[in-house]
Amino acid sequence: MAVPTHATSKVRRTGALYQRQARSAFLLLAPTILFFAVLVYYPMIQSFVMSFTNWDLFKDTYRFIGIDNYKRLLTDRTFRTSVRNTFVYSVSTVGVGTSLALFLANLLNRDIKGSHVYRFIYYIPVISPLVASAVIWEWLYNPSQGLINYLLSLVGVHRIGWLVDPHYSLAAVIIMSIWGSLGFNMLIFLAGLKGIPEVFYDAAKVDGANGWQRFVHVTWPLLRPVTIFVIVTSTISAFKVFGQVYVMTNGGPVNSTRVIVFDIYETAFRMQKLGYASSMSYFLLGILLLLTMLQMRAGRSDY
Amino acid sequence: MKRSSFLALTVMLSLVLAACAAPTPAPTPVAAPPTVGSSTHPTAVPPTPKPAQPVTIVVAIEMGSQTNERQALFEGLFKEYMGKNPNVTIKFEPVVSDYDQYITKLLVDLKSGTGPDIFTTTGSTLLKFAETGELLTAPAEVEAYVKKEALNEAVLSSVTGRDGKMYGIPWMGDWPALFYNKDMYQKSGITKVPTTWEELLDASKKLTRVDAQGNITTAGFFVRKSGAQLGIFEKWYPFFSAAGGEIFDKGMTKCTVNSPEGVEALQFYVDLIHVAKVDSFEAAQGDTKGFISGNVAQYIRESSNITRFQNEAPSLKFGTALIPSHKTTGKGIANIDSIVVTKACKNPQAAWDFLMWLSSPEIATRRDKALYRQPLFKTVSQDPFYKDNELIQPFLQQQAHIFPLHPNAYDMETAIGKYVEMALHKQMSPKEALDEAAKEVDALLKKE
Repeated sequence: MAVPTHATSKVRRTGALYQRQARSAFLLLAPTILFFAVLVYYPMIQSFVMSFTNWDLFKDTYRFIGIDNYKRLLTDRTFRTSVRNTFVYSVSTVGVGTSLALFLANLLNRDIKGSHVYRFIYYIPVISPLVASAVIWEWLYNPSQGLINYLLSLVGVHRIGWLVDPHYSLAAVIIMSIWGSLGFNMLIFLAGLKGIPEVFYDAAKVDGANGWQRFVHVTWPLLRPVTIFVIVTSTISAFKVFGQVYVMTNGGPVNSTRVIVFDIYETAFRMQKLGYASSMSYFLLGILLLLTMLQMRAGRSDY
Repeated sequence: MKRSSFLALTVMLSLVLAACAAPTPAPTPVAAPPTVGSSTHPTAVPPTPKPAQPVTIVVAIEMGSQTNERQALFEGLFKEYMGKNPNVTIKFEPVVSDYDQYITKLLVDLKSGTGPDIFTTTGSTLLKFAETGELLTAPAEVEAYVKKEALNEAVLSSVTGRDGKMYGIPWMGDWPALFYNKDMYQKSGITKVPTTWEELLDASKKLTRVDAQGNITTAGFFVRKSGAQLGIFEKWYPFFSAAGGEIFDKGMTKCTVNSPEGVEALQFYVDLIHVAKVDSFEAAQGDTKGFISGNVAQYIRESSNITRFQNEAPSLKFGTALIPSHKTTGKGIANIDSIVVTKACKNPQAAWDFLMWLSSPEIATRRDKALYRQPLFKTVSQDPFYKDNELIQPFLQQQAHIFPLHPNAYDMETAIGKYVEMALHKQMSPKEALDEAAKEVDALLKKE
């Protein structure tokens, strides 16, 4: 019979302590896990199952229809329009929004007088309620009485039907959305810029690098993780756009601002077709997962 | 226990608990057919038989735009009823939300067995509720009362199912007629309100104002060009009906929106913007806002706007008139809410008695007058308040339709609206647009 040595009993004691600690940790985590399980994972699983059914909220019964809902997505012209609009919206808001945010962050990173006031001003749209902002923008875009057309008329630009002309309506929503998210992205970039040690710039200066070269060879590579973060979060948020479309255009005119989430909302809550709406949601999830993976891969740092 | 096993166990436990927490649809109890007291006089507050046992009736009402006024009025009325019927408790659930959210909430409540006994609904939604067996049919006495009192065919149709049975009592509603700005008429030398398309076109041209750059500052006639496609359809419908158009053939087997009459109506509507130029996409955006601000001279809208103008623009001088006719009388689409009793209601007799009291001429008159609503009942319309009201009278004379009964009516109206919008934006000719609309509606017609 093996007699426990001092060392083995210490290991056992440590193991028992570890188990006790782990158990306490998991018990403490359980409410959160339960919360997520009930309110996130269970509905997610349920809606995935629903996406293979013809469930209409008005009807008591539903049946499994295989991948018919997903097949229907491919032939649904309105949904195709929503997907196209969502892509145009996302590429524009993420592309222009990220570039503008980076540009502004660079400006505000300099020692300029009152930079904190500018930061505050740029951040106001982020903390403003979306619906209130959308209503204000609706007025700004008013073709006959709106401020934007008035200002444009001063430089000889003819009246534009921002929200009623399908040529301009999506652009109008994009502009509003960029305005709304600019402050947040700018702050993230600003935090990233503050984290770059000054010594790199000093070294570049010694090597004779000008401002642009310092940006390209020092700032940009070191901001890469921050940029990836901004792009990924902005893309996810852009694909989920709904509020401003719902308030400002209701998806029109002629479906020119109809986006995926608006389509999901209409299908689920106006037409009560929950099965089909669920398949739309999973289609959106698929797009987002794919895009996020691609962005993460593209952003893998070589430094 | 290994750490990973413990974690897995915790997750599984959570999932199991989650699954247990999931609501399971409760079977809908089928109530016995209701019987209402036999001697309700249709033109007076009916004497209601007092239930022997205490009864609680839950009433859900969508509050619409007049939330505060409605809530105060209904609470007062319900209290009055409870005072007269001490055994009855009316539990009022006012729902302040978007109509779609209201319906979703109702559906979820009804399916989970926690729904109200009485609720308000409208149009194709009533039909869906009725055809999925959620509603009780109205007792014979209620049916007789509604048939006697309904102001027009649209009011009666709004509570009638495809099986010809009545499922509720008309609650509140309206339909459109022509609004015009009296001052602008005077300034433009218009002395007669247009009664035909030709006169409307002529008046609209005279009323249209442009600035130095050629921008329309006042639209002679407002054409609904944006917003919900259902709304675009409804605003075009008066022209469609005036041209003699019918949405479906007689047996409702085929959509006929693309008939020559339909094409004529859409061509006229499109030409108002592109040929007559009495409105444009860059002109005033909102019809009612534009009418208040003087950017719109004429438009077709529902009577509920009368109070809005009186409250928001007391100095606005406006009149109302019948929708201009063409080959036949122009008719608008009526939006009529009804109040219904659910099959799950445990005291259907008490519920119908309460509704009969609430819909009696005296109470309906008080209700409609307090909220300045267009009356739906003949007796109410005879009240001096309405009889001598020159703004509301055209609405009472105006003929209206409800969209043909079908569970997919909402989708059909939206589909037609989508193609009307495309024609307005010149993405399709009126004929092409209506051909596409007819195809989509035909597909929806087959899909129950």
